[in-house]
Amino acid sequence: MAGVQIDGLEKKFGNLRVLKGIDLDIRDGEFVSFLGPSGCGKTTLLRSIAGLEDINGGQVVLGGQPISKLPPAKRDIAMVFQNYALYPHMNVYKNLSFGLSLNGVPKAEIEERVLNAARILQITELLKRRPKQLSGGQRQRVAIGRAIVRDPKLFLLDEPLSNLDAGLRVTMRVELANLHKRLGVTMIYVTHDQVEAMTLSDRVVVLDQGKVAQFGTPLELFYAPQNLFVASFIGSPKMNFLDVAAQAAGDKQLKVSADDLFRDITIALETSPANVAGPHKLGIRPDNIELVTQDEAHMSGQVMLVERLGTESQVHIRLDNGEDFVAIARGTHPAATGDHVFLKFPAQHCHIFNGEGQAYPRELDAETRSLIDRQKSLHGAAQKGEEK
Amino acid sequence: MLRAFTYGALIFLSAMFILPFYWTFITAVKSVSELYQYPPVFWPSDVQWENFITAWFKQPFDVYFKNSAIVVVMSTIGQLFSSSLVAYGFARFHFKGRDVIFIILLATMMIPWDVKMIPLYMEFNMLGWINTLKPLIVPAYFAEAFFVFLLRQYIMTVPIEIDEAARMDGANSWQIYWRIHLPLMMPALVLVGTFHFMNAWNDYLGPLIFLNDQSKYTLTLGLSMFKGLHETDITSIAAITVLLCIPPLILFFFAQRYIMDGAIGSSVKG
Ligand SMILES: Nc1ncnc2c1ncn2[C@@H]1O[C@H](COP(=O)(O)OP(=O)(O)OP(=O)(O)O)[C@@H](O)[C@H]1O
Ligand SMILES: [Mg+2]
Repeated sequence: MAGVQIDGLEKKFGNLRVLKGIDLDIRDGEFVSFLGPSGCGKTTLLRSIAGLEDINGGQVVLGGQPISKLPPAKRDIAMVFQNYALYPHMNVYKNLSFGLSLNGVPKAEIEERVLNAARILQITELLKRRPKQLSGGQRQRVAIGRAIVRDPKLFLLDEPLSNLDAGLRVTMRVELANLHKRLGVTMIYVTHDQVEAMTLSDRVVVLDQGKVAQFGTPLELFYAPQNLFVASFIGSPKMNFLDVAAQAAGDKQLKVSADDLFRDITIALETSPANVAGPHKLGIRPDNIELVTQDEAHMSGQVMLVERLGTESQVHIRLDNGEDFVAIARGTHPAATGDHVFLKFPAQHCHIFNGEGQAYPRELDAETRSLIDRQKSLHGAAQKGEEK
Repeated sequence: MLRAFTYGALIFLSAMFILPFYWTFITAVKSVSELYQYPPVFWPSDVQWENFITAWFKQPFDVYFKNSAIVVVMSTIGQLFSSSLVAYGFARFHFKGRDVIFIILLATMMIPWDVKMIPLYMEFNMLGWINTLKPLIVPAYFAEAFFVFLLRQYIMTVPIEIDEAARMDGANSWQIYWRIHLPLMMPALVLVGTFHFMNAWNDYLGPLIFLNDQSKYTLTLGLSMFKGLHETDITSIAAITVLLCIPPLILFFFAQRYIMDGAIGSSVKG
C-alpha cells in the first residue's frame, strides 16, 4: 500500500499537449476518481501512472519511490482495462495466474493466491472457463481478480463498469466499494459518470482539458466548486448561470447586481474579496431556485416545459433577459407551460465567480460545513484503522 | 425444381474437378495393355495395385522422400516462426520508416520467382550451398511477404490492451509474442503452414536448379526422372503422383477442421 504523488506531469501526443502539468497528492489507501468530459485526458493520465505512456515531463512517486522511469511491470501497479483485456486463449485460472507465473512465484503459492482472489470475487466455479464463456459481469470480475492476485500497491481502473448494463453496474459499484474497504489498497478509478465518482470516491479529481480543475471530496465539489468548470460539470441538471456585476459590501460580503435582477443579492464569503472589478457570474443550482410571488422574486420568466419526474418537477424557464434556466420544484407544483413565474435565488445557495471563472469561496451553512468535514475525516479514520 | 438444378450443377462441376484425379488414379493401376487402348478405358478390368510398389522401387524414392520430408518440415517450421515474428514486429512496434519498409516488403510479392532465380543461384553458389538442401530450407527462415501480411492482419485484430495487460503482468515483448500472440494466431498459422507445406512439397523448379546429385533429389525431381528422352513411364508417373497427393490430403483434412474450429480464434472482446 502506498500513496501517489504526481508532480508537474506533462504528456504530449505529437504537438498536442494532453496533460498540462498535473499535480496530485493521493493518500495511502484512498479511493480516488478521475472525472471529466470525454477527451480531457483521464485515460492518458492513468496510463502515464501505469507506465504504458512515456511522459514528457514531471514525475510520479508511488510509496515514496519515483517510478516514472520504471517499466510498467516493475511499478507494482495493477490495471483493470475498460474492455477487460482478458487473455482469450487461457481459462480463468490461467488468466489470473499468468502474471504470477511470469514472475516466478512458486506453484503452490500461485494456487493459493488465485483461489483466494477467486473466493473474494465469487468466481471459483468459473476457473476452468474461457473468457468467451463468461458474461460481462463475470469477465469484469476476472479482470479485477487478475489485479488482486498480484497484490499491488496501487489499483488503476479505467471505466471498468462502462460495458455493463445499468443494473449490473450498480451491483458492481457496490462490490467495488466493498472490495476497496476489504483490501484497503489505494485505488484510482477513471469514469465520466458523476454518480459513480461521487458514490465510490473518497476524493474526486475533476479534469478539464489536461488540467486539474479541482481535487476534493464529492461534497466539496458539489457545494464548494472552485471554478465555473467544476460548478457546471458537477450536478444534474446543471447549475444555472447569470452575468452580473459585483461589489464588496462590508466584511466578507459581496453584493451582486445586474440590470436583470429585481433586487441585489448579498453573498456571505469566507474571506473578504480583494478585487471585484469586471464581469462576474452568478451560479445557482436548479434545486435551490424557489418559485415565489413577485414581491420576493429576483427575476421572472416564462415556463417553456415542465418535466414531471414524480418526486420533483423540472421546470424549464426562459427568463425575461432571454437566458434559459432550469428550476426544480416539488412533484406536484402546478406550473404549466406558458405560465409566467417568479424566481428567487436564496443568497446562501448562490455561487459567485470572477471574470477568470474562479469562485469566491462562500461561507457554507453549519450543516453543509460539518458534512464536508465529516466526509474528509471519515477517510482519515479509515486510513488510521488500516495502518494498525 | 431449382434444388434439383442446383444439385445437378454441383455434381457436374464436382465431376469436372475430380475427373483428372480419377484419370491419374486409374492410369496408375492399369495394366500395360489397357493403358494405350483406344477408346480409353474408364473402368480398368485388371486393377494392378502392385504398380505403386514397382514404381517406388524403380528409383531410390525412400531417399527422395527423406529429402522432401527434411525440406518441408524444416522450412515450414522456419516459415511459421519467421513470418509470425516479423508480422508481430510490424503489427506492434513503432519505429521510424515502419510503413515504408512494410510497403517494400509487400512489393516483393510482385517479383516473380523466375526473375530471382539467377541471382539466387549466384548467391547460393557463393555460399557453397549448391547441391545441398539449404537453398530450399534457409530462405523460409527469413519470412514471406504474403504470410507476414496475413499474420499481421490477424495480430491487428487483437486489442492492444491485451498486450498492455500482459506487459503490466510482467511479460516482455518476447513473452507477449510467444505466450499471447502465437497461441492466438493458431488458426492463421495453420493456414500459413498448410500453404507453405504445399508450396514446398510441390516445388519443382527450386530443387531442379539447386540440386545436382540424385542422392539430394526431392520427390518431385525423382518423379520427373520417369520422363526419359525416348520413352516416358506413364504408369509410374501416375503411381508416384497419386502417392505424392497423400500427405497434402491428410494435412488438409486436419488443417481444415482446425481452421473451422472457431473456439481458438476471435472472441477477444465481449
Ligand atoms: N495515442 C494517442 N495519440 C494521439 N492522441 C491521443 C492518443 N491517445 C489519446 N489522445 C488524445 O488525447 C486526448 C485525451 O485522451 P484520453 O483518452 O486521455 O481522454 P479521456 O479523458 O480518457 O476520454 P474518454 O472519456 O473519451 O475516454 C484526446 O484529445 C485524444 O484524442
Ligand atoms: Mg478514456
